[in-house]
Amino acid sequence: MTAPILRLDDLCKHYGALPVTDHVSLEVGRHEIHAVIGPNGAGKSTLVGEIAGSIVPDHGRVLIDGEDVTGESVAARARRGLARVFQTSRVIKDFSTLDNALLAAIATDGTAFRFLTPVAGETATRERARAALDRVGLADRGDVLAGRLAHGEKRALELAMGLVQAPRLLLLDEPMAGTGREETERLTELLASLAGEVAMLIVEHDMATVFRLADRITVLIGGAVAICGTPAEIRADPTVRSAYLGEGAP
Amino acid sequence: MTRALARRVAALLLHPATAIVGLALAVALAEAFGWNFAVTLATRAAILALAALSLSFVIGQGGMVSFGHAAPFGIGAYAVLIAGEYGIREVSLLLPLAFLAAAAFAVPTGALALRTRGVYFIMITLAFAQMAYFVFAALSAFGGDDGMGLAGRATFAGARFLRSDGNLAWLSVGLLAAAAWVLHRVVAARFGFVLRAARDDEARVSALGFSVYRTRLVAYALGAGIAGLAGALLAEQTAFVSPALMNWHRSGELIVMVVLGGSGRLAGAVLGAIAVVLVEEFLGGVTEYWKLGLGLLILAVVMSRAIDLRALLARIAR
Ligand SMILES: Nc1ncnc2c1ncn2[C@@H]1O[C@H](COP(=O)(O)OP(=O)(O)OP(=O)(O)O)[C@@H](O)[C@H]1O
Ligand SMILES: [Mg+2]
Repeated sequence: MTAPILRLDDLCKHYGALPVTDHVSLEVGRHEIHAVIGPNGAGKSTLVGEIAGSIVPDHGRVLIDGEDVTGESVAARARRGLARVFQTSRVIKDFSTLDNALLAAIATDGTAFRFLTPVAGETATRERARAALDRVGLADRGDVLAGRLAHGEKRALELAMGLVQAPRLLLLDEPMAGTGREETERLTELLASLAGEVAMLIVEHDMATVFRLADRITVLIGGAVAICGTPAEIRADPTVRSAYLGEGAP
Repeated sequence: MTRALARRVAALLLHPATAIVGLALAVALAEAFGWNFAVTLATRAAILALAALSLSFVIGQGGMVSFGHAAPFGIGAYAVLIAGEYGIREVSLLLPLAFLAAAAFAVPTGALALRTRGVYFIMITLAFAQMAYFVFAALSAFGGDDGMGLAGRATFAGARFLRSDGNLAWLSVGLLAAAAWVLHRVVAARFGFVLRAARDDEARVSALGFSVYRTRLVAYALGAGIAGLAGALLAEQTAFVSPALMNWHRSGELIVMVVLGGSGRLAGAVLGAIAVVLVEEFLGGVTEYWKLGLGLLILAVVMSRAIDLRALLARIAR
């Protein structure tokens, strides 16, 4: 039996008296796309932070590949194959779009400690970066400073940076937030094309995207798991329907 | 037409490599005409440019605003003094020793300082430099507060090569050029690439799997080591070492050089250092208040809304 790529074991986190993560346990299988949905302030980003390692839980464990990584740094978890797309875009603004992708490609090789070989001469790595940009539709934006990209393009760039790392688990915190309809559809199809190749945990408000991609959905309300199930189960659940999805739900 | 030409000439004149070549020319001319004063001045400029260059790497590329860079500089000088007292006078040993001593100071202090950010980092680096200052001021075997003269200039491969001020000038300019070349390579390589990315967005870079802390620490130690080389050269030049080398004034002066040169541009600091040394030399001779002149220079740079000296000169050229 192989361990799931991600397992959360009774995770808790309080900000003051406010429980933001309330005894959360969940699993993401090796080829699963797992969506986390919930109203604003439900604790979704906090949960992503606890998985990535930037937020330390008060209690509980995070296991990647069956190994307890609760005490590990962000960088150490990334080296285990975790890639993250932040809720607010985090690209290196002063670097070109291609250099951002290149930075992520270099990260896959594992070392920053190369002192004399010019980055410009690392052709194989550069080609991988270019291919990733191509995949998200930024092929002709490589020379533009990342800070100058339109919002949707920044999201696409972050996704490219995630892909170029060839991650085993992609953490996506509202990757479609603020992108146009057309772009959302394009990025959704791109993620769908990766199904089976890489496991994903995706936080998303866009229900069309969620129901198109997810194998399973966890609904988070007030920091606690309200329900976890297949899209069909979630859609059918009357409490979720009234509490969160609303009447117009697909 | 003439404008474009003037701009071209200005760009060439202001190129960092030009500043180093200019120093070399100054040394050659001064030697040819026997102007000892100019040889000394050019050597001093090259030495301080080396220290400022290393700080420019730490601040501009690493985003670590150290207010204690005089400490590794002074430690390099003390390495020469102390090794000399134990009979080591060979420059090919003294320079690596100075580098290692300064880097060895930077590793533990940097490891602590790098746990802080922003103003706290500035203050803690200052605090460590002040600690170094007081430790060396307390070393009575090596002159304590007053400092101590070197027994003599170092030898090179056994020969008394550095007896000549001219040779010391060439060594200083040569080391400056070598350090500029190496740092230039490092900045263009992965290490510098990741370092700069982390300066812009640390969370992004660690989320990619890089250890930002370790990368910065290595950069901090490398910068300190090069400052140690500069300190060793200054000890050779003045044949005298005192805790005053580690004074916080000097840390501040090095920052001024970096800022004048434009902190984003690695080798701009060379130009900044030359400017400060010249102002100090010529205004320092005229008035005790030479720092006022330096202040005016900084003001002029800031007021012109040019961010650095290079941009200011370029603006004047236009
Ligand atoms: N550092 C913090 N200190 C105190 N409270 C915090 C902190 N970070 C988040 N919170 C609170 O914790 C709760 C959960 O925040 P979180 O960002 O995880 O929600 P979310 O589900 O991602 O919301 P959104 O859909 O708006 O992105 C919110 O009420 C928020 O105000
Ligand atoms: Mg959120």
